Amino acid sequence: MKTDLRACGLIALHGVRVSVRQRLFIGVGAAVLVFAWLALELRAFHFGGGEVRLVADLAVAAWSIGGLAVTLMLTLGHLGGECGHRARTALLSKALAPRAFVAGHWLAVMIGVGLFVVLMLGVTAGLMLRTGGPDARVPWATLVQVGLLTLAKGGVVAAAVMLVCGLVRSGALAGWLAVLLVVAGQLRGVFAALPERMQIAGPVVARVIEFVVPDLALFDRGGALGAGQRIEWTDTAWLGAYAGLYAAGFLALAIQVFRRREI
Amino acid sequence: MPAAVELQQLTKDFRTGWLGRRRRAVDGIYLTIPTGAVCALIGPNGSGKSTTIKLLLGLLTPTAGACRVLGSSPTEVAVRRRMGYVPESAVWPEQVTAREWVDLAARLSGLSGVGVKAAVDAALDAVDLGACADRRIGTYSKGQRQRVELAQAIVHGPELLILDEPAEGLDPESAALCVAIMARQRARGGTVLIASHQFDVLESVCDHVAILGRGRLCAAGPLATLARNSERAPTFAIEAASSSLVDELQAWLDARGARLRPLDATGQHLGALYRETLGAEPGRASR
Repeated sequence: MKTDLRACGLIALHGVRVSVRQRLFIGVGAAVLVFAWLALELRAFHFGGGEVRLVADLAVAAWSIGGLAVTLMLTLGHLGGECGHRARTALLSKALAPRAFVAGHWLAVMIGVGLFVVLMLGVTAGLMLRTGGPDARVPWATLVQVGLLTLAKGGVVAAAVMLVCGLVRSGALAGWLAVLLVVAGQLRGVFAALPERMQIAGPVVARVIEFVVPDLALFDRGGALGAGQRIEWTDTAWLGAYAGLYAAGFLALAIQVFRRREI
Repeated sequence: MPAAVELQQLTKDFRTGWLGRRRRAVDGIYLTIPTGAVCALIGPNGSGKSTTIKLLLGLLTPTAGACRVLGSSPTEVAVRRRMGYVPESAVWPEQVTAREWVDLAARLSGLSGVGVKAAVDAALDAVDLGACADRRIGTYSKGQRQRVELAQAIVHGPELLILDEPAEGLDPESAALCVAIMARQRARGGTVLIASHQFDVLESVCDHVAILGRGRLCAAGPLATLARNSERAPTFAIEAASSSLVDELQAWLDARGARLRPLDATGQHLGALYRETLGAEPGRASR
């Protein structure tokens, strides 16, 4: 167990190093800067006192889309494509258990997503203070919870994409399947309702989608920032447990896939 | 002392195409490589050399038969810590430096503490990369990348070193370095299994040979024994004092239906044995 933890740490460190050298973290910074630039540009327009709301709505989009983009970019950058496949062969030929390999890469992605969340927290808070006038206040508790939920969503998506990367060899196919999975997760409510209209096997398909695809839209609570609402900590805890369950499930399956995978 | 490698009726099938047709890559191989041997694994392209090596590394699961490496199953992580592997083509992430990659290999192989730096430096020096070890692998030439592969394979002092085409496309200096590393491995009591088509490299260091053809083991054993049992005509080296004597000898032999061939190229013993065992030129034997 101690050896696995050490190997997991080594792989995570290696993953972060490769991400930095691949300039993937520039993508993280760029996502945050685009959000800040948009918010500052639109602030020049008069929205009838709705600037704070506008910034908050932008924040919702930036948190959700930026978080997903960063997670996909980092995970596919590590494990997708020929480069990922070859590096995988090189690493798995060493004294490295598949569980340490999978957990290490997941940890490396989570470090990248964590960096995105921290940057977004700072930028969102700064913009809310600047646009909110002299009495502006930052709802820190809500903001931190939005950050934690983005991190949780990133954890689920990263684990699911790792499973996909283990199942298919082609980097392009892994990328498309990952995007499809994320879209299905964001629109799970719609997808789950569709088969019920079908006469044959509709409810069964709906049940399968409900069970297999996590509802990613549940984690998009940034709207509370604009509406001035609070997010209950119990809700955050439940969503954290929901994310943990799905992430653990996907990771366990990914480990099994990498254990049985022939290279 | 257990054999370094023991294969018993090792078989591997692959499923290919949409219909999942079965293709046998390795067909019931029995092979034992004693500890301390340097064994050449030779055969035409597609004869199952790389598949056998991947089975030895635990990267593939046998369809049938058994495979034991250093007394254990190769799927055990603890055994892989005692092995070093040089893959067929450069596979390292290009963004990291040679030192970082060899350091990662050393730590994954169980080295820790102050010993890591010394082991990494020694491995990089052994492959003559010490001076440029802090450059990213992406900036290296093909020969330098091959040397990085060698360094990461030997950094932890493995008991079994497996090399898959390590000298392919290398300049003579790098090939000589590869031979030196194998000789050093043998000198410290380690075992080497090398798959290659470069008979001069193999013959200069190998003492055992296993010849594969169409996934089957055609011949295996000590190189000296196989060469002695070979049916081909014996070859002699003649140390002549003058070229006129060689000319006279040539004329005498010509009259009796024999011929004199210079022995300045090494690797011809193994090459001849290879052709004789497989009964054809390398290209034809694989079909």
